[in-house]
Amino acid sequence: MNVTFANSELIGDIEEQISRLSASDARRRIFRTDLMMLGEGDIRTTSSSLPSKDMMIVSGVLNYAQALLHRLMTTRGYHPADRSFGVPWDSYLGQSYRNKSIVEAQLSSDVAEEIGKDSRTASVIKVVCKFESPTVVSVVCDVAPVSVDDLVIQLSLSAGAQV
Amino acid sequence: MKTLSEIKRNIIAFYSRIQSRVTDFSVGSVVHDMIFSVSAALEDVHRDIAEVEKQAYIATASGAYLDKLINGTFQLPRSPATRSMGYVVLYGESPLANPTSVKLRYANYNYDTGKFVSGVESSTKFIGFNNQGDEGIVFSLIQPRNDDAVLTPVNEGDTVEPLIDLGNRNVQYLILPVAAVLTGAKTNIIEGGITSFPSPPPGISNVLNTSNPGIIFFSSGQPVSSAPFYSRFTNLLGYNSGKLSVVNAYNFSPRGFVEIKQDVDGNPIVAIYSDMPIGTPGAVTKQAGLIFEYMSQDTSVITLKDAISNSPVPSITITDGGVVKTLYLRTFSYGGTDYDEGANYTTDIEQFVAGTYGLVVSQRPDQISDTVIFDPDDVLTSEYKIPTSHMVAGGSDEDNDEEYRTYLRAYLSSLSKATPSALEAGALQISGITFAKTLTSDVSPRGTTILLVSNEDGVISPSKKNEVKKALDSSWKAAGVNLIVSSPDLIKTHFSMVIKPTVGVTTSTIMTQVSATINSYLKTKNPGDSLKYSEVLSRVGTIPGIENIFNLIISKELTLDTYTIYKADYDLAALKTVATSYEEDITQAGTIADGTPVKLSGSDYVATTATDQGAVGIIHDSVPAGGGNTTYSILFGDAKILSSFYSALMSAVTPEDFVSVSTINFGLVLTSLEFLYVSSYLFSEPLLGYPGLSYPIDPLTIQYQYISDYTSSATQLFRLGSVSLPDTTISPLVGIKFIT
Repeated sequence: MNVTFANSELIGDIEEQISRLSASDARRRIFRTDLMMLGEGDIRTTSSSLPSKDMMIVSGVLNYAQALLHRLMTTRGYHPADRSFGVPWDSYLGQSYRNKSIVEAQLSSDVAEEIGKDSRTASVIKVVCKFESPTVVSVVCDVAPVSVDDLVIQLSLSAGAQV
Repeated sequence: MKTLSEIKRNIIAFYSRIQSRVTDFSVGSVVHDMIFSVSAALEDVHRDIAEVEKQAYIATASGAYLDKLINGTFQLPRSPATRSMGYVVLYGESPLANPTSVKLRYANYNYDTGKFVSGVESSTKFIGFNNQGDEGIVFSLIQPRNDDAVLTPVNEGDTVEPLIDLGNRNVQYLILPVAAVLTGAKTNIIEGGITSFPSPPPGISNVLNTSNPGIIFFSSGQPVSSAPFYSRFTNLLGYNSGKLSVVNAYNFSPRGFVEIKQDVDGNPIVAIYSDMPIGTPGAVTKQAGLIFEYMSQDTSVITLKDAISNSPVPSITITDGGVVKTLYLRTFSYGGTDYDEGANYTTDIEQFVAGTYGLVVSQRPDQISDTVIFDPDDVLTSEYKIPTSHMVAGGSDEDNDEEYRTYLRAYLSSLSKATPSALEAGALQISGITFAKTLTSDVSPRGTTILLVSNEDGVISPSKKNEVKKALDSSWKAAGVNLIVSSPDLIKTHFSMVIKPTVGVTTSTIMTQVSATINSYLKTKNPGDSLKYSEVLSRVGTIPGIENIFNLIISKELTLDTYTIYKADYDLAALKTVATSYEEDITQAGTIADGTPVKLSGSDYVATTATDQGAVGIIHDSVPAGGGNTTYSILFGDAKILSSFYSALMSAVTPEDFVSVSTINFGLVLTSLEFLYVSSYLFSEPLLGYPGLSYPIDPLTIQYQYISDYTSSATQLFRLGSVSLPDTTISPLVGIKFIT
């Protein structure tokens, strides 16, 4: 899973991105701050040596992007605190479809709806789902967050299991 | 109890107060999900704490926790579930031809605790159904209270199977105790609910829990104290029933047949059956009476089987010697005048037995009497009913939590009432309980109080016993005391006496009054009391029409075995009175049958006939009164007189018979002492101590210092009983002979 940003604001390595996207107090207030845990599922820590070593946090737009990633990584019904959280991957994967384009359109709609549940989403610009096999689907979506003009976040991920 | 949401809110609030870096606690954020996981685990902890808190108090604890609180603190166990028990009737297809082959296996059961001791798995089982729609309730045959009813070792150390001992009695109705294998109120079976006998032994057809076993007797032997047997069947539908008498019955339950062989005037009713369809050449005919089907539960009504129907096959199916046969009714005739429907009647009757089963014509016994009833525990009343107190009942569920708590509260409030006298008073509050006595500690197990309770007849039903225990446990019992509610053991007690009535008094009336007087006297006695000769004499002596009383003897537990042994001794004594001399301990005589005339051949005695001029006397075998080896005697004298006297003596079973033997047949007039001697023998056992083995009792040897009052143990209660004498009559244990 990857997260990229369509404008030039985000450059350099992840720590630099974090630094820049978290620099604004206003953005921290709107997009809030969370512990950093990207797609691989590990909590990240600072590179400092002990005892100042600490868990890394993520703020601002990047936290929003991380939240969207978590949302898209979660299969609907599996989050114990909110059974409606996540995408209904189980309804799509593992089956053969006569007309995949229709199903892909349905899935794109579900993904867009799920992204829209986050109050920090201004609009879902585009969602493209494509079955690579009956058990793997690739998703690419462009999302515009609130309060940040001209910023488009592009999320891409492969859902399912590669055999 | 705190919920997950409350816990999560508390953690987030606390976390937000102590730091400001992490602020995203929405669902899906990393920190939210971490807090959520911790909150979920904490909610489980809160739930466990709440459960522990609930189980820590008697008011809210449940199940095993409540047991630990109450029983662990107060030693008050929860009242367990109880099982129902009572008596059922087993019906033979006919009087058992080979009773020793009937294997009825019992389980050992503790009547006091209501628990099985052993043998449930292998015991004879019955299935009952309650009216709550439950699956079949299994009942196990349990050992009768009367030890004589079960097989016992011949030699010390022998082991025997737990089987009911029917001996050689050709019984047809067996009244035996059963208990539910499981416990609970669901084991309470309504009357008629136990009807399934999955594996009956050969000869036994069915089982029924009923207050009215429907025992049918032949009509020629009428009981003195109750209605004639035949009058119990007063409504033969469509017929002049008052003229019919019941002579036989088979397969009574649940559908049985009554055979009517003659009317009460002796007019025969004869039905001719053949073993092949009517008109078949070579058919063998058999005779029987008319067959009726029993229909009424109160035994007052019997009806014809398919009375005068148009069934095309006039036949009955029977079991004859184990072989199922079909018999065809051919003709019917009646010797009286009430059935005058002419020739058409025969045709009609041919058809009413169609399709029936179970009548054993060729094996029909001459009569059915009390000898066909096996009732070891004396359950049947004089009307041949099973009283309510012995019906299958007494099952109850274990106390639920609330009942258990109520029990504790009642116990705590009753501590001041928990004295023996309070227990007795508490028991007497319950209807039907007329006697209650707490046994002293020396006869009770440590930590246990035994309370004897009974009705005025000295008995108590299992359900009533449970009712008493439950009431006392909940309201009257002392702290930590294990209360056992039991009933007294009944000692069948036998009284015999010789009475000289005043002139003109009807002796039968006196007999009834003496029996009633003694019975009334016994009812004044409680367990542990004595029976006093002086008290009996003073009471009987006040009966009008009695001039004097002689030779009162009180004895316990008169058994047929005892009777037989002493009769043999007395036979010898009586024979000596008509012999010129005698010689005892003649070993050689053992090879010659008892009562056989003998003559001398060389130095040996050999058997001969009474008319043989050389006959010198007869042989007599005698079993010593105290038991032991049989001794053989030769009684010398006129062999014809001795032989006749012997035969008559052997057939004499009542005092009247014996007097007839002595005075009428042989012209022998007994002296008063001899007469008393006979009477005492015929109805009595030896007194304890002297004269012991020299029984029968010579009145001259009875001295006041050898007569002692009888005292029961703390758990025993005297009551009049009955005993089966060799002539098959049931005799009350009051033996009276009159001097006229």
